[in-house]
Amino acid sequence: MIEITNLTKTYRGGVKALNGLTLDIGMGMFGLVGPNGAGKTTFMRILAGLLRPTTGQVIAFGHDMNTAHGRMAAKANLGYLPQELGLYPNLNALEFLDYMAILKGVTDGGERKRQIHDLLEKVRLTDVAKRRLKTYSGGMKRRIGIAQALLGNPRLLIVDEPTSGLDPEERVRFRNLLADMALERTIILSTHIVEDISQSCNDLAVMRAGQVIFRGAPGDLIERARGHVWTITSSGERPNGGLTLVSTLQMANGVQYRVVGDPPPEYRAVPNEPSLEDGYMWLMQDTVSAAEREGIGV
Amino acid sequence: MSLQLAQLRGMIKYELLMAWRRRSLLVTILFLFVGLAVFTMTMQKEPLGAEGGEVLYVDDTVTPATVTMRLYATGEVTTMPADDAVLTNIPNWLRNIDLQQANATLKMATLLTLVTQLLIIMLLLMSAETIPLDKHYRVNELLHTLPVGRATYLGGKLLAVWVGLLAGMVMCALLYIPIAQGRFGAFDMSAYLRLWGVMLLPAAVFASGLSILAAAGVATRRASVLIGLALMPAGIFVFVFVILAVFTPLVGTANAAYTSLSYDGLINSMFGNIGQTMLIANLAMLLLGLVVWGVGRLREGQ
Repeated sequence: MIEITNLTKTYRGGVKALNGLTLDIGMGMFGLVGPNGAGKTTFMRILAGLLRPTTGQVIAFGHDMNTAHGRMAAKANLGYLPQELGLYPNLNALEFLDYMAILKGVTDGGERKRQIHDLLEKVRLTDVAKRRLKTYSGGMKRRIGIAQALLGNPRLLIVDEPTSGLDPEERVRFRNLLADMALERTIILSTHIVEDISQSCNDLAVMRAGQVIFRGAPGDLIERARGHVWTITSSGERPNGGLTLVSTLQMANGVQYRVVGDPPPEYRAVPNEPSLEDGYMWLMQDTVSAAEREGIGV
Repeated sequence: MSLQLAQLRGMIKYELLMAWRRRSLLVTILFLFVGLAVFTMTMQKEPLGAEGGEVLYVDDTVTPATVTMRLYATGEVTTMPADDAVLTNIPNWLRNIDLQQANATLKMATLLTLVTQLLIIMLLLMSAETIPLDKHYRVNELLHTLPVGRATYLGGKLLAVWVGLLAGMVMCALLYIPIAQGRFGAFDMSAYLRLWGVMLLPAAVFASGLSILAAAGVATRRASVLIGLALMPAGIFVFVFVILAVFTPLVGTANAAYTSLSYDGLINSMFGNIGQTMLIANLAMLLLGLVVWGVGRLREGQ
């Protein structure tokens, strides 16, 4: 269990990346979405022990991460896959995983060997395990990244944009792999790709301007957009008037727009079943509108 | 504690493997060996001469004192009463010892002193990238999420470089023996090994440690090379003390040619001075290590 209380982070220069964030995260797959600059990466880096918060507290499995001892204990239960994963190019997969396992505290040689073998099987890299990492493709590097994150059987797995740069097949495989792993641990998945969340998370938070603006199940977010998702077919100009354009499709009779908002009647908009992406877009639009009404810049 | 030791062992193993594969360790050791060979070839073999032959031994324990010489003309080794010219050229500290061996040993000390400077310069430049390489490969973020303490991380990086250097330098020292013997003749093996142990190895530990620690905070390999260059004055400063340590006893003894300082006394005095210089240099380097560790802790996670 991860308990985050009133977390703030202000960088030098006064940039406030987190602004009183409070969350409890339990077992399973937890999704974290939000626009660029929402504070997701700062939040993940604090959870990973890479950054210290300006104020607030993170308790990971009973360890207070504000203390050096607590951070070290929390790190012993942590697997981390950063957005930009670097690897040692002159090591092969077996050597790299062995090195990481030793540093993670898997000191028994036999146990290390067993874990590495199992994880290479899981990420389907056994056949190329003796190839230097510099020869790996982007997808293979991501897979070795997830393998190293799972070494030591961590109770918390933090993955930042894990599917960026992967082809569709790899992305699906990766999502399934994470979903399997989530049965026995907490996985925090930060992503821009809402589809990744909808396919694998049962709990999610949406962040904006350093705060959580939504917390709940994906279904709840979808429900929020019900009645606000429309299809507009037009041969003329693109619909406007406070509508958020979700997708555009060229058709024989014109252009079909999927929009979120409340279109005026002259658009002859047809209601649509909302998706998680629609829910996210509606939430963003709603938050901006509310802030504008209150005169707050977001 | 056992976890930290296991982590240190792992770091030494894999950092060494990576240093070997990216050729940096190999280049360092080859450079040292080639440096030794080049200096050896350029150094002249200058026998202790007297009129008509090379002086091999002066015995002043008998009256009159005798000199053993190899005659240039015939190559014959002969012992005869020493005249005043020989006794003036061969001071007390060179008497009653094997002069050929003493001469070769002093040549060796001079040569290894020069090579020490080469080693210091090279290691200041080559070792600086050790920690910035983690940033270059973008693995530092991953490493800092692992339960590895800052002291273990720094210690692992330093020990990996030092173990590699130790192995390479021991190999160099052994492989160089036949080359040196071929060039200079038999020399005092114990003094030779002590020179490696007291001068070259500590100099290598100092230069590589200083460079690794000073460049620990920079983000790029290029910046680390600049740090290495900026450390040159420190390297030269220490080298000046090494030179003083080696040559002060020699010069002092030559000037005081008729004092009672023996050859063994000279050699011991030389080693004492070098040892002291290296101890101070390495303590300063370790002090820098403490500063780097402390600054790292302060900056950690900010």
